[in-house]
Amino acid sequence: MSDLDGLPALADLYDEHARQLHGYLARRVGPDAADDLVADTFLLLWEHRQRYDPTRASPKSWLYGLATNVLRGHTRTEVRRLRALARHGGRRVEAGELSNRVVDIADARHLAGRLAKAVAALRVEERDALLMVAWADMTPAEISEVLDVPVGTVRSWLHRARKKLNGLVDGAALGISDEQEASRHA
Amino acid sequence: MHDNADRTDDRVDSAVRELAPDVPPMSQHAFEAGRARVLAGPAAQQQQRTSRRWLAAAAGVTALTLGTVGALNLGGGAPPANAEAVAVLTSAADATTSTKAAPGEPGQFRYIKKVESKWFGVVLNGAMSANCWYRQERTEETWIPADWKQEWQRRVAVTEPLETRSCTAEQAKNAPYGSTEIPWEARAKNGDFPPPKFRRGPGLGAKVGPETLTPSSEPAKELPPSLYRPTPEYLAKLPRDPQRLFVVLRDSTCLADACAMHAARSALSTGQIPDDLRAAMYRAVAKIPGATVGNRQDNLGGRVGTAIRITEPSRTLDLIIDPKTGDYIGDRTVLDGELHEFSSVVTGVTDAIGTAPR
Repeated sequence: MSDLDGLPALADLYDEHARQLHGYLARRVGPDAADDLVADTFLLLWEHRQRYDPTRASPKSWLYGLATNVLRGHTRTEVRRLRALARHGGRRVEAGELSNRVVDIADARHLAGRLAKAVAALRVEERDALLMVAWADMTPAEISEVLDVPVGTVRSWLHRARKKLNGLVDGAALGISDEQEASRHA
Repeated sequence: MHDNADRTDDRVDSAVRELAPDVPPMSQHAFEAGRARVLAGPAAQQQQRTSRRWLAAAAGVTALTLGTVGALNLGGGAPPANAEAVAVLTSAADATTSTKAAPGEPGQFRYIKKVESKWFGVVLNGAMSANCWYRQERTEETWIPADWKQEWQRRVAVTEPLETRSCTAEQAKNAPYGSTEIPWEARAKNGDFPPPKFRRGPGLGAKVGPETLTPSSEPAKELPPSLYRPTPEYLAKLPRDPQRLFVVLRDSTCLADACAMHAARSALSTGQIPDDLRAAMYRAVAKIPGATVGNRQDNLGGRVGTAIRITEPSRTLDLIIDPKTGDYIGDRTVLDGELHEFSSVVTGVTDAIGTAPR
């Protein structure tokens, strides 16, 4: 029997995770879409509650796995959003946040823009896995359980995603400019 | 090699983490709207489940019934519980927590006797809707061991039609699509009693068998614990904070504030709510908008208490408690000025299974 069964349990779960899940979804598809997707995810959870096995994944992991499935219907929105991020140089960066970094603000914005573009270009399963790790603090094992794929497959997705992004990150960390980066790959 | 690879992975992950756009926090409006949407669908299923309680059998019995829980929806704008109701409920809560908790020594049993009276409607002569009504009482006695996993006992008695309207007791009893629980007694570990049997009218084959509402009905033992089918673990997890408990009660049914009354009555009528939770429930009921004191000298099943009341245009819901002892006495529903149903609950402790405490 799942601990998630019963409406009070559902209400508790919503109260505990809805805001955090909203943050994750909002980062991926925007706040407006996230408003609806949070509810969609919890309804999906209720619908499939009998499939939940607490010995295999925490409620949070399971929830984020379902959210990832829900997001599959919004891939185009997400890609558009990432491309917009790329155009605007990634997320807003406060100068104070950067005081201890090796790159300056301009480089950080530059990196973020290119990184966003590269993330948008990832295969959907690679992007899902990477963002579940980076934005939802999930492990490959947890992702494997909630997406119902072998852990080796998840590691493979992550490996490919990181490989595709690695050059960008390395270049930025070394202070290589966009032009230098371009000539390096020419 | 692995260290280098790990460092590279960490660097990429860290950069992607930094990429996370700043997003505004979920607004309270979005949070509440989402919550309502999430719970509304499952609430309908919950209502179906809870309606199975008592002669859920009603396949064929066109119950005059309870109506749907949703009908309790008062919507917004109702005044808060009045001061008199708050005072009564607070007094009952204080009395509950100041009395000694019911003992649960090994070898002892918690005894719960619940008497329910309800009007049912049945269809005679091929009518399209109920045209014969009868009132029946069901008495359920349960002995629960201190360790719930051990053997329980339950004894159920059901009366013949005690009163009728528009038909005779015999007609009501033999209605073609009627279905009546057959008195039974059983023992079972963990309270997993076998499903009761029902006597069905000739329209249903006049056979006797376990009731199943639909072929896909889950066996009773597979139903999850809930306010209406609690387990010690479930009860332990429920909040004791009145506001949080009020939310749980409200949202376990139909999401309107007054729905908490339905949930509180159902939970308390199980007789299985521990003292500290019962006290919290009284304080949670004090948060129901529109709750008032109905009758300070209310007699239900021979016991006198104070009725906490929710009044609607065609229905009155009472929850009757003894503010001096904190005892839950029972509940009553009046439809269009006529007593429709009541349920009285007596609890106690006994040293012998199958024997009522003195």
